[in-house]
Amino acid sequence: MPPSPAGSTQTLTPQHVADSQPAMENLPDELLADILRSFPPRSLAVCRSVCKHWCAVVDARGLLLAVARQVPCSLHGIYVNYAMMRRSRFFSRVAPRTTSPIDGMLSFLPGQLMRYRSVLDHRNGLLLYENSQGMYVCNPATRRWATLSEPPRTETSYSHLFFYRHRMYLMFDPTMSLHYNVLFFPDVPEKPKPPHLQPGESQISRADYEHERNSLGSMEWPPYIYPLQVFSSKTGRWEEKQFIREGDAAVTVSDVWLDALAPSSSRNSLQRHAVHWRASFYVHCDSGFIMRLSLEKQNYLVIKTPKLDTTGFGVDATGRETHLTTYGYLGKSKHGVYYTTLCGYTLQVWVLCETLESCQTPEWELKHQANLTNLNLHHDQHLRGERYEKCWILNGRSEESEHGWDSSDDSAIDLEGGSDMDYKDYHFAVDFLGYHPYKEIAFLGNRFQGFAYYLENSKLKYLGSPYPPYLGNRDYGLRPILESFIYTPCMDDLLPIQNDAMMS
Amino acid sequence: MATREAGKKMIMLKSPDGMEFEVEEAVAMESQTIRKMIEDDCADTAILIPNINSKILSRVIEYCNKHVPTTGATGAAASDTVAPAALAEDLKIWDAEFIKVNRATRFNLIQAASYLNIKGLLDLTSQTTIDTISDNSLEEIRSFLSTKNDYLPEEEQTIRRENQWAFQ
Repeated sequence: MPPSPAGSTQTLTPQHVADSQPAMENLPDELLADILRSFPPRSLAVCRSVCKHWCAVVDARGLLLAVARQVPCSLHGIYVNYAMMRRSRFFSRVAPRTTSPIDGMLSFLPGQLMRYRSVLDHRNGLLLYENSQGMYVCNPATRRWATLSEPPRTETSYSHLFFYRHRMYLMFDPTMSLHYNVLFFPDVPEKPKPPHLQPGESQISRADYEHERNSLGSMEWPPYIYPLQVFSSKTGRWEEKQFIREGDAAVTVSDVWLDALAPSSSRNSLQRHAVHWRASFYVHCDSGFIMRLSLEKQNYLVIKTPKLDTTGFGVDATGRETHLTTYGYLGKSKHGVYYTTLCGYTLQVWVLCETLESCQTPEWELKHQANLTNLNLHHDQHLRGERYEKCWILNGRSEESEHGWDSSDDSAIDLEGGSDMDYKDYHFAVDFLGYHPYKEIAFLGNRFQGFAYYLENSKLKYLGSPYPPYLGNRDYGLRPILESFIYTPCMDDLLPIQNDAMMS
Repeated sequence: MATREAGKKMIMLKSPDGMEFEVEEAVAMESQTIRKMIEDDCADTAILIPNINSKILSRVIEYCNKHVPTTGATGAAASDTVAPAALAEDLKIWDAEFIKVNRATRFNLIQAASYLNIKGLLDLTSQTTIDTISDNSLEEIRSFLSTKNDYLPEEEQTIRRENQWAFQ
């Protein structure tokens, strides 16, 4: 380098003096704000908690306010699907007629007079919905929707054609991106038909049939390479993505064939719920295990569900035999991924503990246990018109504001509590509707009423009835509610504006 | 020794640790701050950059050298022979290599880019930081940035509760 000519050196005026420790916090506020502004909402909110200085920078410029539309609001209602009635209803808070922009009844969608229409999945404000015409992704808050093309048919993807839509899941996290994905999970191979059920020409021998059934049935499930069909709203196309298994397989194919709660079983067809928590997607699979998928790493892990404690199951408090169902529900609440089992009237709540080292299998921790026999007592008290005021209604208008969810409220009632009521005549299965997204409140139903159940103090709060009147007196042992989706509105999306939406 | 080509005005950039860099004026003018000084005739032949050390300054100059437009008055480089798209692709690969630096250097580069007002470099350095941070948890961000957590535990709980959704 040549020496600089003396005397002609100019100095740039310093705006700030660099610290000896170079770090992001030493950046000038404006520059820091510019960088923060480029973050997706979730990272921005996380960064706000990094230190006081960052919080001040975020707040002074209203950076979070600018992305508020992308942040899902709190609980707005619950979409419910019933057994024997493939038509979703919306259970939400009673409110005076307001000009709420949220159309929980989905009147903006085409085909609203069709007999068959139901919600297939919900994620952070977007619904996956179908009716006899097709499938849609829609947002009740913006009244925008898009039709979803059917997934490409591949040999492995679905055998039970009628139920294939129950293997579709929506993935949408507006705090990271306004694009969504739809995941389509392949089914187990179809069980071979025994010779007497095969069409005339292609008669196979009994031995061949048994061999085929046994070899198919002994295959591990899910397979090491699990092919998933993924629709991306970014590309507008379905694409196959292969997920590699970490750890052991869950079960064998024949275990899934035997699973009575599988969607293919005729009476109890059930959509398995899914949870999107942090960077993972959890899906409750047939025969009762959970798959944890990482879309980024394209791998998955099998997580076994907690064993049900069936001691004393099948008999009620008075020792009489009951015929109540047992089931597990995968959901999300305050501490992450929850697995809830209902064994007759025994409620058990498990929370998934995931250690940071990915090599270790996550474990379930029993968080809460309760006997819900008294739900039926409250049913009886309600019938006599006692002390409860309903605050939620089915398929009505609702208000967007979040109410308190305060369990110390006057209308809260104790789950435990002396009762000389004779409730032994009731043997209704308890319906589990889901969890409040941020608070440990479970939503329950007893075939007549819906309740909010506070885990912290075991209090119940009567909400109203999530059941349509004509579900009345059908098989008491069966749960009338098949599926339910906790709806948390999101005011933004990239869905197209349709003509119908403009009219309303 | 920098080679002087005929007709090219050279300018001297000095770092506070005493190093001097002779660069083409066009390269230096990638920095809007320096461009303004030159256009306002504030800079004659040498400019002292007060808060950017020689290590960082040399990297900044490296970046500007690469990114200075090859057409126009300084068009000695053969832009006719290479398709613009390929050139842009090359530049992208070069940028990706360029930004493979440690955290401290990257923040220094952000500061330098901001101070010297070099938009391309600022975008490149901030975007890399954004990409690194966006998918991480609070603890990871803190340790990555070696930022001190100055919240009391209760304060931190409160602030996290205000944006509960972000931690799910």
